[in-house]
Amino acid sequence: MSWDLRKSDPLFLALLALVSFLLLYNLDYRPFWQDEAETACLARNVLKFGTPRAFDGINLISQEEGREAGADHLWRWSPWMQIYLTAGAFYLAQPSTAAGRLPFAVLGILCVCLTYLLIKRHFRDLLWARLAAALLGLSVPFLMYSRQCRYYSLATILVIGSLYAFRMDWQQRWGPALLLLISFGLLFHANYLLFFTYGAAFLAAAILLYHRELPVKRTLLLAAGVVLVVLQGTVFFQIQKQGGMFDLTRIASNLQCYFQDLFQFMAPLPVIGCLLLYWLWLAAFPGGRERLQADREARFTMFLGLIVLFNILIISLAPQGEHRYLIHLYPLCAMVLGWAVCRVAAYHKVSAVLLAFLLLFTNWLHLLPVTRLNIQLRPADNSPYMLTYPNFPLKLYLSELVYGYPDVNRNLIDFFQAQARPGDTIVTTYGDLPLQFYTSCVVFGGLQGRLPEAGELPKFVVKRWHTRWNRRYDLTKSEAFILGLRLAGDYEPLVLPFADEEFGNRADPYYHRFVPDAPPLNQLIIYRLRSYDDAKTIKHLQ
Amino acid sequence: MMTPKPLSTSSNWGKWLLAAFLVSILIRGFLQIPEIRGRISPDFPWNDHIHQVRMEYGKVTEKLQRVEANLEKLKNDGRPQPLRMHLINKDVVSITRSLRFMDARLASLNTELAISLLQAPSIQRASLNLHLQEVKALQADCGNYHRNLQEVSQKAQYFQARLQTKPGRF
Repeated sequence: MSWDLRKSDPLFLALLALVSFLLLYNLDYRPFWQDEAETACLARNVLKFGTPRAFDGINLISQEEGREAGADHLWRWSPWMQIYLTAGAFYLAQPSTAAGRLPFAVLGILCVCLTYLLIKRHFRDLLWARLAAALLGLSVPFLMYSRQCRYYSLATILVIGSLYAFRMDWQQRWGPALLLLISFGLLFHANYLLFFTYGAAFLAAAILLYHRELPVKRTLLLAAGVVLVVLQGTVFFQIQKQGGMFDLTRIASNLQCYFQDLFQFMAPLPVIGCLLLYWLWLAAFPGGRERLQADREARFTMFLGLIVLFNILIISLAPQGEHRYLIHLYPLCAMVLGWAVCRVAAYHKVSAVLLAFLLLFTNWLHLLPVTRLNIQLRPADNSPYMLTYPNFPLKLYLSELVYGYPDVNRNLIDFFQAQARPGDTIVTTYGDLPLQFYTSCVVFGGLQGRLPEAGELPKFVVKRWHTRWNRRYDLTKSEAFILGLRLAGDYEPLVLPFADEEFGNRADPYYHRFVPDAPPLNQLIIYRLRSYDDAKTIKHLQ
Repeated sequence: MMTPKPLSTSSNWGKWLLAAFLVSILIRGFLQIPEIRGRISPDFPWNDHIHQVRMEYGKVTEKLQRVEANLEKLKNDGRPQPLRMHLINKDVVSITRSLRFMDARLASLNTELAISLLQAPSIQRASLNLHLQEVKALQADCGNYHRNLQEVSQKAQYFQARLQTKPGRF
């Protein structure tokens, strides 16, 4: 189906309106969880100090026992782009949950637009463009990640930007070449792990499939430009310091998790299997190279498929296997799946309609085959109303948006906003950063490694139900500190009628709950110092 | 005599086979969604929770065996091996987490089933009773695993301490 480029597309506009609603509605329905709060707290410090400082004189922002900043307290653990973007939003609209999430949600909408434009402009296939945009814009994991005050949608749009530029005449014109350079340069400043893994995968796939279209001089010039942009950041962010976190024993399990995540949430195994066979037939059989050269669409989707494959192989070397490191690959999967539906449509329209329905509105094609093969990944503490179970994902997503969710961080924040005085000390084993952002208390513990002075008892202690260990598999300092307190004698336990869930509004489809469990498996317990009303600090009497 | 024909991708049987596969996914998927499953089988929530615990039980069994094997190798080898120690610690943490979840889930199931049993009509009691017995058996198994975990943790702590204080031979 071809279309005049200048004509507006009412169906796409309707889709865009729907995606905008899904991304922007009720943005502050749940408070920031730990990772989002890290960005938000650093952004607030940017407004205060001009730079992202990990310590503001009261609270320490850290999830790595203080390794993120040096003696000057300047944040050097991750790039600053997401922090400054959030700071800009806070500057314009005051620090709040909605303001922090808004720029990233808008970028999520732009990701859908750019995906549509990429296909429409470069392949002039309207059905494919619409399908790719719809598959991305209605993908619940993508929507959830794009609503987070974090780099996810930022990195994703830069990835689509790089593909857009690559499909343009960058070999001859400077504009697209510059766009390619900017996309990669900024990707580093969005998240350097994604830059290294996606960049290497992109390059390898381009050499394999487009080597005739890579002019040596310009390619080297662009690579040198990217290296220049990246080099100062590599030194500044002390990336070599994080090399010590690499855990070779995790590579196999990371690979397994990433592939399972790919099949469960991004691209279903049966479709991937058929595409692999098709691509192999195209490339490996006699005359395959010519066929591949002639079929631009097949070559491009194979290119995207190779990027996804190489990216997963490379990212499995990183210390943590997290779904967020695949989020920038969602548009690539949407484009490949959209193309697969188009190919099926050319073969059999009824099947194409069925396939499109399954991909757009259900997760059944993703989950049923992996369940049958016994390779499904479900967390231990699981509910059937999650994306790890056959469902209508959009229905779950809308249920949460419309009816709300008893968020663990919200319940803690509400408690401390009502019960604590400014300057009161809290020690918690996790969720310290949301408390720092939303309350005026001095918050210790979490994964920051900072604890109250020896002998000083905190006013409040939150021993979360889920125990936390550090990267060396020792109990975190806050867990060990609380074990050393006389909770039974010095503190009064307050059992709140809410579940003590592990994370809160974490977007990872493996963990995210849309509907609360009834009854909850555990309850939030806050310990309040018994002499809280009498004294400000009390020496611990052993 | 029939003339053999090459297999054609435009053949009708291929098209309808594809459609049939997709329809089968559509039907099976629809029957699997929690709302429908709950209507077909009222025991679905219990079954699902018990299934999760059983899955976790399988993982714990596997990890405990791995830890024991690693400890044995460490003992026989006589030399400190930081990588093996790291693997043991990782498994011990993972088992601790799993057991904590299993304990909580089984306790919750036990309470819920006991309450449901009191209120259920006689026709449902047999199946609820069966679930309750299953939960109790799993709780007993978990108790054994807690003891096993304690043993292997103590051994692991011993080797960890030796690794830190005497980096030569164990």
